Amino acid sequence: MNANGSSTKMIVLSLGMALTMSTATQARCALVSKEVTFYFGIETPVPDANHPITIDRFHTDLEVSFRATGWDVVVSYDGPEYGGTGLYVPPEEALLYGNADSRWILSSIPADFGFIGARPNEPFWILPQNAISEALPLGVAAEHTGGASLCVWNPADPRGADTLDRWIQLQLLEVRGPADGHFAMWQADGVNPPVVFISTYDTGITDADVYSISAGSHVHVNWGFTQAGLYEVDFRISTVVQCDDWLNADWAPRGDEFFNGDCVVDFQDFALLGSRWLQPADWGDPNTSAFIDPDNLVDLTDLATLSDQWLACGYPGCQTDSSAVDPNGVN
Amino acid sequence: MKEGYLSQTFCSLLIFLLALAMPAAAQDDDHDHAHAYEGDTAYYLAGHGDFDIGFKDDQLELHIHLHAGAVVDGNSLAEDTTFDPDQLTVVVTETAEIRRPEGDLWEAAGVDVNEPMWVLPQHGQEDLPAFGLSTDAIPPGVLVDDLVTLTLRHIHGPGDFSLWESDAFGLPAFRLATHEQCLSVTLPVGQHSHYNWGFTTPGEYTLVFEVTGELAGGDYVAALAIYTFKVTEEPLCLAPVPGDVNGDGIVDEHDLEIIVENFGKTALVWPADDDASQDHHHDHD
Repeated sequence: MNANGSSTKMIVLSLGMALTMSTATQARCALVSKEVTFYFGIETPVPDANHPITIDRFHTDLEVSFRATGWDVVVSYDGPEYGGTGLYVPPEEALLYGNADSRWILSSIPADFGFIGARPNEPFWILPQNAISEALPLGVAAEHTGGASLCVWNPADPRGADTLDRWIQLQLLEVRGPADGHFAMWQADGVNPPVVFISTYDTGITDADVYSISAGSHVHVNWGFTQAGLYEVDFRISTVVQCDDWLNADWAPRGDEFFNGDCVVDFQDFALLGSRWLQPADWGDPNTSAFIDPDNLVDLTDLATLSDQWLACGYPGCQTDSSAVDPNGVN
Repeated sequence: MKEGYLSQTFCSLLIFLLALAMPAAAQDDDHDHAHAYEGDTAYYLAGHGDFDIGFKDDQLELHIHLHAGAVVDGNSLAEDTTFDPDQLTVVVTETAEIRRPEGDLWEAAGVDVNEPMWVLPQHGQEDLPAFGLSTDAIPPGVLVDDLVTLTLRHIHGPGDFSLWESDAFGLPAFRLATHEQCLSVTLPVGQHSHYNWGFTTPGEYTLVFEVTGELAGGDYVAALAIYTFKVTEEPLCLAPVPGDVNGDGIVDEHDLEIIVENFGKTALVWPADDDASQDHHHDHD
């Protein structure tokens, strides 16, 4: 009985250590992002020479994927003319079209929906969360994102993103559109109050104007517009990725809780090395000391390693992304 | 509450005994499910899937298409997998419970205002199947007017079933509703939409669906299939999954989080002068 108990204890201890180590390994993660503009034509003339592919009426997703080669953001259109295969369109070529079926005029705006910025008896437009009408049903998909390369984290957003998961976020940066044109993004189920992800009407554009989608999933939302015209909507699409293991001179954290390295060897790493010069490597921070060479002293060997990896970056696709080697960090 | 706890305990015990009894066979079967599914009926527990209406060899066909990441029998699918409808039970757990909102539009659901019903929501929910309805695989021009009709031919279950879409303001647009004998809906081909799948009473529902369409040449084509939905208020006894600490049938970061947060802790500590502690201790002896 004692032997069994001892074995069990050892197994549990090993498991605990393994978990602790795996947690520490995963902790060397960094935020990577890409700025993307989507173009919405709300009852604008079509075709639009600048955005020649009109996306109208049929199921469509803004597909945000982080693959082994880096970011892949497309408009995925399932019009019947493309059968079951669909059409993948670069965002700048696609005009996400709000046709007449997307136009609403209500004598009063429902109480919970003031965030749209619509006015009673005036038209506003919704690309809806479903295919009830012939308006464009527009979703967001992250189904082609490789989960293995992403880190698990919690955006702590009560709007459906308050769990540990592999998240991709669409942060609204700017909307250029017609005068008095407001933009909103929400879900409604009739059972609960609407979940508002973005509203430029409420408080302008703030950090709260963000939509989080977990890797591997696919959702539909409502997209609201209060004036006809062309809207250029800028998003920063971001996720947290695991830095490549070989980039062991990337020591410097960026400050956010899930950063322990920024996947780029740059001045921050050099500064950290300088601040620890000729000190023992084990200064109590497991996230940085783990990257020091085995002699347990910050010295010329470490400087040589840093020099070898200078301005190198270590996450999928970063070598083709010039901003990834920006000394200011990743995007 | 106590009943639920006891049930969960019993469930855990059963899982433990099953794990002891058939470890190797169960693991092999689970491995096979992740690739080409050829096993017995499995439980579809979470993730994105579609009620897939397709067209092949001049015939309509019905499948359930689960996307990579969907959870079946506690395993996350590594790749998209197609099931025959009778191979899969769609599970609607207690977290799907809502109260029927006010408004005449909701009458079709088949329950009174503020009464409970169980819904796989259109918007998806982490711990429930996000079950869409797709005609993507029917090419345009094959069927007259590019339309296909979905009809609920038979339902066997303890309550009513309904299928609806929520519009931009959350108002329901019912497509099927057994309470109102609304049993048929026409769908355009090349579409993929998400719906709310509602049930009024816990239990197992067997739904027999038929899809029909008219070929451009004038002939009619049809396909029939049986779908099973299990609406349960109790924790589902799944095949054992080693490492599934929280018992949700999925080994994931949530289990890891629980282990890390509680690592090194011991069981309950009872005050020495507490009578209950003596009883507790005695029970363990």
